[in-house]
Amino acid sequence: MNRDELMNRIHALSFAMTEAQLFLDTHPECRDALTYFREKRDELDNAMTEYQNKYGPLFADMTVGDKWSWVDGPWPWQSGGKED
Amino acid sequence: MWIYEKKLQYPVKIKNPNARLASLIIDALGGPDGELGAATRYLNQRFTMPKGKIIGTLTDIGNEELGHAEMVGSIIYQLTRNLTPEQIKAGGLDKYYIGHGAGVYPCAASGEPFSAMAISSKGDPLSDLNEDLAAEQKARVTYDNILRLSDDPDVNDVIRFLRQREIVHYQRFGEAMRSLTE
Repeated sequence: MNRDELMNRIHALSFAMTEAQLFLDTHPECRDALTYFREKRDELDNAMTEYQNKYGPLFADMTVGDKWSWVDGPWPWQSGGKED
Repeated sequence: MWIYEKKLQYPVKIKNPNARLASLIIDALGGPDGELGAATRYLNQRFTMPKGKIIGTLTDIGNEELGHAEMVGSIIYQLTRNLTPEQIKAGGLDKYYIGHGAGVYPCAASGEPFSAMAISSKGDPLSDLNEDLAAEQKARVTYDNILRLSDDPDVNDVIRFLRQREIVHYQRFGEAMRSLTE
């Protein structure tokens, strides 16, 4: 997967987790939702690790290498536009 | 506490600047039914809620609203990139521009600065959750109004996502309120 494809996958999995989390807040005994949440969490962990190793940190403490790449762009709002 | 994740909840990629749309959509950030007010409302109301389910719902929805404030700020930023003075004047963004340039400032489309006067935190679960249900519907209507006035597909895709979230939050707040009588 290229950078955009991998980020799209992260967006999709994160969103699935957000939805499941809100549902679980009001349905904490729902085993199906809990299983779904954990499946998506594991898939997201793998996607995030791959992304951060290839393209830079999504969390400051995931910065690797001998340079503080957390401050490197693009920041999340710096996409789109005709120059891209 | 909070930890920043270096991504938006949903991608914002707007090709064409549009001063007029920016001057309207700013309402979804700093207006009375905007995302900044939503986050502030829920994250403050949660302290006095009587049940873990309700505290969790307010915490997680309030957290998501912070992400929505970031998304609306991203829309404003991208819509106001590289505008000419003529475009600023023609789009009616001149009054905003005088005070804020292309900076993202939380205010209503009318220019009224963001105010906590638009939110409530009463320390009473029925009062607060009823406000939250109404707040989600008011935010949904604001997005409906934006969709009526916007014909930019890049913008509308994001606005539709945000609109849909209001509906899901309304559902969860309804369940949280019913849990009061369980």
